[in-house]
Amino acid sequence: MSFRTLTLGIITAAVITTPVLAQQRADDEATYITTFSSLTDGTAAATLVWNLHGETVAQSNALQAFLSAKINSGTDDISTRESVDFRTINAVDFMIRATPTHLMLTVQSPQETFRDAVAHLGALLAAPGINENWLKRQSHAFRSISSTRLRTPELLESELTDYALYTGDTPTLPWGSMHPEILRRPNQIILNAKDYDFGDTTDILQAGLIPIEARLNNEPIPKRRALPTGTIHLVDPNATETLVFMGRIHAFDSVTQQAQTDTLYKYMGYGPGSEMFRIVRQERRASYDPRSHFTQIGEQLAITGLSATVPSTDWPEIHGVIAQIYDDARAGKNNQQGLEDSHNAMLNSVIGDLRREPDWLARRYLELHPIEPPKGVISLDLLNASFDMNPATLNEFAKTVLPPRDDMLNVIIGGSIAPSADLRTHGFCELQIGEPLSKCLEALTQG
Amino acid sequence: MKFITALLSALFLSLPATAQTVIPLSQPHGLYNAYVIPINDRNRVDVQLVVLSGTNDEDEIANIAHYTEHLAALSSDTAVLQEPRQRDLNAFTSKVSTVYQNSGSPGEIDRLMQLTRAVLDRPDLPAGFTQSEIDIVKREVLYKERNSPVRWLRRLALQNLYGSKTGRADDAVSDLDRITVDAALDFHTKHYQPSNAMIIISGKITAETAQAKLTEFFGDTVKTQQVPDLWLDHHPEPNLRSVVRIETPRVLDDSIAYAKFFEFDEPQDILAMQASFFIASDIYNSHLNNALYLEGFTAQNFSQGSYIAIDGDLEYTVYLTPFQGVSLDQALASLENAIAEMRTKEITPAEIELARAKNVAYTKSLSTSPRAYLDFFQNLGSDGLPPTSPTQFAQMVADASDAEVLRIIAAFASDSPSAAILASATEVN
Repeated sequence: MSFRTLTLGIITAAVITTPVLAQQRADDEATYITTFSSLTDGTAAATLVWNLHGETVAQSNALQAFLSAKINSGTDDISTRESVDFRTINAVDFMIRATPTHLMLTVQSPQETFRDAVAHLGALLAAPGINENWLKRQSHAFRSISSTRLRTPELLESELTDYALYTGDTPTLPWGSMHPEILRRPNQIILNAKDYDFGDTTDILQAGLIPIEARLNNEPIPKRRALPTGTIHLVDPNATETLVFMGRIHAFDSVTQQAQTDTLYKYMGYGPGSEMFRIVRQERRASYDPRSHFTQIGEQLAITGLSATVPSTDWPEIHGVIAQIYDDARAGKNNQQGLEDSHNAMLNSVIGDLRREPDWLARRYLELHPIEPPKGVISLDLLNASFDMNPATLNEFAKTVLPPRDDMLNVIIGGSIAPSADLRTHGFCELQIGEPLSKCLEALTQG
Repeated sequence: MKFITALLSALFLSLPATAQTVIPLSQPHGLYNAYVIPINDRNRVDVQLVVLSGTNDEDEIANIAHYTEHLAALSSDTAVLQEPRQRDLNAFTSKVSTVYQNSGSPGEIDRLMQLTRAVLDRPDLPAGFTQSEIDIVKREVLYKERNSPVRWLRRLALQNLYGSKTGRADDAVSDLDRITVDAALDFHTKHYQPSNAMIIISGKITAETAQAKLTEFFGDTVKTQQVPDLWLDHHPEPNLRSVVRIETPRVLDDSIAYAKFFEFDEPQDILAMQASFFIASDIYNSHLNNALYLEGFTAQNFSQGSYIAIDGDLEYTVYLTPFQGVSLDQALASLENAIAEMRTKEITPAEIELARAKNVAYTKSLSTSPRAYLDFFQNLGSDGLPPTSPTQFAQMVADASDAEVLRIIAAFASDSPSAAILASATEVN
């Protein structure tokens, strides 16, 4: 196995004290290796990336379950207990994530134990076969849970995201076909550590893994879809609490618009200084958890929204309050100090992710370079745009940054008070208990 | 075990890099106790006030300790900052204590001490706001319940174990409509006495400055009688083995909540036992985890918790969802068998050493996060014991005797009162 090395350049942002250096080594046997140095917490990380196109949520869950079973069930030489203890005493974390285009496995540990962590992971991946009981367990663990059942905003955001991203209908691969899809040499390995020599890390990770052309790699990449507009109401007369959500899948015209939108959503609902907290919780005493949603789910793509769980008797009134918060933000009636605080909160979030979350940087990188690294400089323009954005002028742009509320989807889960005629103007679908959210999403999409 | 033991010697050498020494302040004034923990490598100071009363101390109505926490924190803000901060409360209520944390730069120490001192003053807020804060507490309790249905089942198991809905058990959701302002003010009057509170000042501050600031802001407090922990006398029926079956749509999967209680013959010195308890619980947790989850396939999910009270009473709780094909009764039988097998299982010195190493690794991880080490400082403090720093704890773990570890494991495995809730998941109708 041979590598050629070239320096690609710098991903940087003026305010970051530590530049994020990127270095790439391309393997002529098709595993591309990219090195970042953004982690500043004394840890090192490696993200193994397999190009696998999951058209459905079920396929995505199955891929993650298989990989999870593989790395959690031990080997003939290492018991599961030994593996767990090894990870505990060496502070080793494994993280699995799937997107419609990639399956990712990140190993992270303190630099002093990273080489042992990599050797441990390499041994787990290279072991033959898979434990059937662990496969059953992880299949259950990675199943999708309906947001209409547990009624948390996090589950709702996840279900709406899946609906937007996983739009195909290819049958899920049988377990027997899953093994060669995953347990082959990864298409990319993304390393990340500051002042650390990775040495032969990538060789260790790939030892025992062979290059195989994956079947799912040749499946089409599902086209994403927008969320419908209108209102969904799950009727539950026995509920005392109602989850109120208004949001959308937001495709941005530019990274600057993305940073502006992120800042405005932080202003509206991120933390105790936000409008949602100040008005919905402190003034109206209506919710413990009012919040905004801004989660990047692709290149210049995010799910955005506002949500709160409120007394069922009050949901129409509080929905109106939340709508007013959004309309005021869009109208540029935003406190300047609050915008600056929100901009700082956005930057702190980005810096925190860069410094501590290798999985975050890997995802941002793969959104830009899903197949292989670029020939030139790796540039995450989002970082520069985030730092360059001027909160002092944001009120001027708020109306163009935030779309009208008519473009949003309202989801009301619980309670018996029917949505007003106004909320039904752009479409309405009523769900009964036990029915999946997708039923209404599809009905509203079809008009 | 070659794979693991090869790493042990290196781990023992890598204790937390920053030594954190807990220094008792010589003059705590009216407070139960006062400590300073200088940490010079961070430009911040944290002041934690630990009121030594929590949900276990509620007389009749659940959530009163929690509601009092809200009122005291908001009132403290109002008194010092003139208006409530637009922030979530940096306070929480546990079984045995209520902890308030105020953090800032070293130059803000006066304001941090003022905010801390004001917690002990009778809450003074606009009547409408005080009343409506009950709604926020309701929403918070329901929010936590929604995010973790296991809380409800565990509560039922503890109610059956102790035969009570107050003290060591509670009825948090059912009691939401019984919360009153007067009950909270009564709780404050009874429990928010200086002599029922401990202060821990940590961060970039010297012992001399900490003492001076304590005198400046708490010098007017006087010692009073401590509030007794009446719930410590609250024990299950000696031969209890309660098994209750329910059907519910509130859980996604069939589930078991299990609780077990052990009382030593004589009250124990928990301060001397604490490191041994951490090692012992790691060992029995590992054995049960192996038997039911990692290497056996009884459980789809399996979580365990152990709590040791200040007199040495041991409370062990389990939440288990059975693996596919395993019934609730089979899973409970496997759990009880696994506990019973600990009576005869040989615990090797190597196993104890491994548990020590895991606790040292855990301790080391705490040193990197202010949130983590602040929690650690007040963990033992919540029982009225001197707080422990990660550095000191690592040394205590190293010094804990094998015999004491084995004694606690034997106590855990002994035949003692237990209660189980077997919940069959049903569809939502």
